[in-house]
Amino acid sequence: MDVRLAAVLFILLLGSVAFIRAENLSVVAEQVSSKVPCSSCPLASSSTAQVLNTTVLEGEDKNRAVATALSSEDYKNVKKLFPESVYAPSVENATAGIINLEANGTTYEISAVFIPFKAEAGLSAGIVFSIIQGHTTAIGAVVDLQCETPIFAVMSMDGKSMVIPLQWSSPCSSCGSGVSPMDYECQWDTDCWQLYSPEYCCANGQCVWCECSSDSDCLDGGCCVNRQCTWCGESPPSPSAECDWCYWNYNVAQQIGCAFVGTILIIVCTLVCIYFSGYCAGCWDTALTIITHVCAEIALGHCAEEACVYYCQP
Amino acid sequence: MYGFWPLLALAFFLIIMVIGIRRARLEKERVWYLGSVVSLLGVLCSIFLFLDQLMLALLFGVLADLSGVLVWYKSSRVRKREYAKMVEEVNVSTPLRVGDFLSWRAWLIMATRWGVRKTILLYYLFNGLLIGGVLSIASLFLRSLSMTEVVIYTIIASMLPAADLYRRLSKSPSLLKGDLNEK
Repeated sequence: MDVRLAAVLFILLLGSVAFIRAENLSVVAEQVSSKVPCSSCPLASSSTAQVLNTTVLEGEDKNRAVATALSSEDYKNVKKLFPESVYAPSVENATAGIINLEANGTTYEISAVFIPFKAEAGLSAGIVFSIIQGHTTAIGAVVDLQCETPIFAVMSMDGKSMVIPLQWSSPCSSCGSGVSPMDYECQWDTDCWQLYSPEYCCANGQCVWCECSSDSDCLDGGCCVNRQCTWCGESPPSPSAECDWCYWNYNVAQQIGCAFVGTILIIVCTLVCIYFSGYCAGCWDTALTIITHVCAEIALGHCAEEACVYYCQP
Repeated sequence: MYGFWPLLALAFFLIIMVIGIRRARLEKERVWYLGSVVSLLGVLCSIFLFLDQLMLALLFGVLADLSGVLVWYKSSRVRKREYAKMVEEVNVSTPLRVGDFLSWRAWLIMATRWGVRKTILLYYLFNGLLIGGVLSIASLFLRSLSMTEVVIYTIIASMLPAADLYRRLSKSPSLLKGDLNEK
């Protein structure tokens, strides 16, 4: 287990004790969601807590603790925020233990399970699952090994998940590494998650909206270059031709699709009416419902203006 | 472009075309041949759709739609005659066969045996199964069609066929030994 990740997770674990002491999760959640500058600073303070002793679990006890962690809603909540393509749990390397600690004059017994994750080079990731005074908590974090700072942290307590704000921008520079991510280019996708959201990814040192990860995510004829869909081929057409091509795919083709579905269903129901008159009314009802929804998909779903914004930009 | 759907449509139109030709021969009624022409146009539409020949597919599709309306109108006299014949032939002792479910016959037989209310309820449930089944499959491909909507549409859409059967049965009092006649 990486020491820096362990330190971050332990600090966050201590923070969760403070949450439980407050016994008012909604207030804490509100504070978290409002992303108050430096709200992570109090969490990063371990001065109010002191570890009394720790017991490492082995054998059956350890297996039972790991199984409880893996089947908990909190662990599942946190795990799903780690992209599967990049992070995978390494359950065979899980560790479990009992930690006794004192915080603000009260002694707590924490049953904790640490599950490390395989991560991108230069990063360390893992989830700590704990049971404190009947409350279950799972905390996941990704730590940048170079800067020794957590770049992503998420927590789930009693089945409710929340993203822990780890803002290292200028108002918080004193409680982080002192360097704002805004000041340097991104190296990994996780840099962008902290700055924006998991929909962003790092391409050529900049956080960009992640349109694709492979060619199959793009329209027919499109290629995924630097996580963006673009025209494949040696001689890219003019922007207006790309735009027309996109509109054809997303708008005109779908309208033709709607017309064909309608046409086929009209023929089918006419034939049902001629030969199987007993089911004529039901056939028309079904056909009209399907036609209405096929056409609604065009209006409500991938409308061409939205889908083709990349290809039609000036 | 449209995957295997044109092939499904093609299979359906071929089956209906064979049914139409067989019926025309057995009943010596030319109007059923016209019905097969509609199926043939549907076959051509499906083939061109499968081959991505969109304009030709649309042309044959529209032709099939128009000729379908024409045949439906032309066949109304024959269908009325067939229905009247069904009503005449049906009585409590008429055996119920699987083939009877391809027309009104099965439901008329049931109405004479079990009464109108039970038959209407069964017909409603039967249509519910068919409509619900087709809409459930459609919902797998249409994001705008949720399962809640499928259930609501099925409950509502099955009422129209049931009302249609009720209208027909109430117009054929000679047929009924059930609850409608008792009123």
